[in-house]
Amino acid sequence: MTSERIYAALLYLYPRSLRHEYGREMVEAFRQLQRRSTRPPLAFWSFVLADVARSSVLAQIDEWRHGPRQIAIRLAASSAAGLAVTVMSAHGATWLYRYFYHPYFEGTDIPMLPSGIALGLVLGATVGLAQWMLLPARVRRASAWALASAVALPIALLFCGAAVDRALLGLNPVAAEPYSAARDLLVVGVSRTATWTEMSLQFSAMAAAALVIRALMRKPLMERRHAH
Amino acid sequence: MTPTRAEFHVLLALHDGPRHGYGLMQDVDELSSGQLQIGPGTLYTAIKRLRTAGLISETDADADRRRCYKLTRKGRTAVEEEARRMNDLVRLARKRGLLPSAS
Repeated sequence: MTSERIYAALLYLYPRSLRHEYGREMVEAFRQLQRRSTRPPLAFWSFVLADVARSSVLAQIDEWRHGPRQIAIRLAASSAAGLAVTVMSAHGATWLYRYFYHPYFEGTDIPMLPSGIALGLVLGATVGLAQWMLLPARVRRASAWALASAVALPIALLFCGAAVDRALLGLNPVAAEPYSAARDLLVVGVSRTATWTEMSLQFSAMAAAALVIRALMRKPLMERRHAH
Repeated sequence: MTPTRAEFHVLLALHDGPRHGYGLMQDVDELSSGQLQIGPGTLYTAIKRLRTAGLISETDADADRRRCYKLTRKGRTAVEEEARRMNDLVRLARKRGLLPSAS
């Protein structure tokens, strides 16, 4: 009985999820192992302690690598990387528009909804691309990809407004004036989202684009590298 | 997922039919001719990983109401593929003279 108590106490070295799900069974397996063991007590406990030390470390590493916190960090990182590409695309598009600017376009009013959806598609494609490059092989479920897109949207709402304006104007003084329609196309949809309908349309476009990228690139880059 | 040595032996033991935890420990010992002895910690860490990967699932409890596990279709395919992969490696090792010829 004392041995079982000691073993039960050792289970605290394992992650809570494993302990919760299999703790009772582990103690039961330990009891049977002890009952039928032909080893002397010292050898038996050496075996058990080595097993606990090795497997608990591996279980903790596994928990950390697959745990919700780690996945959330990766999702946020890949979404942020996707957004960085989007901002760079906005910058490039602005520069191109300025380069090929024609007075004919001056004063052109960019419709809010289509530009928002266009932004959603661009954002989704870039986020999808970043996910494909950054997310590990284990995140294959479509829901995880859609979730990453959902993470990207609030980040976009937080940073794509005034920050992008400042970045674009600061990095590319040529684009400072006139107010570029190309920049509007990429930025206005997020920075000036007016209604829930617009926001949900943007998100749907974004998620759809991210999922299309996922479908096109079935295996993440990391896994491809390992495969060769 | 590529199974570890212990995980592969657990899959191999389940290839014959459902087993409970302690039964698996005994089977792994027998299958490896005593070369691989796993304790409850290694066993249940492997069971958790294999269940998460969808290679094994829980089945009806036995007469002593112990939880039993069985291979899923995906698990059966995975263990067969892994065995084939190992067989190819052994064949390659023989070809290169690392192992004596089978005949």
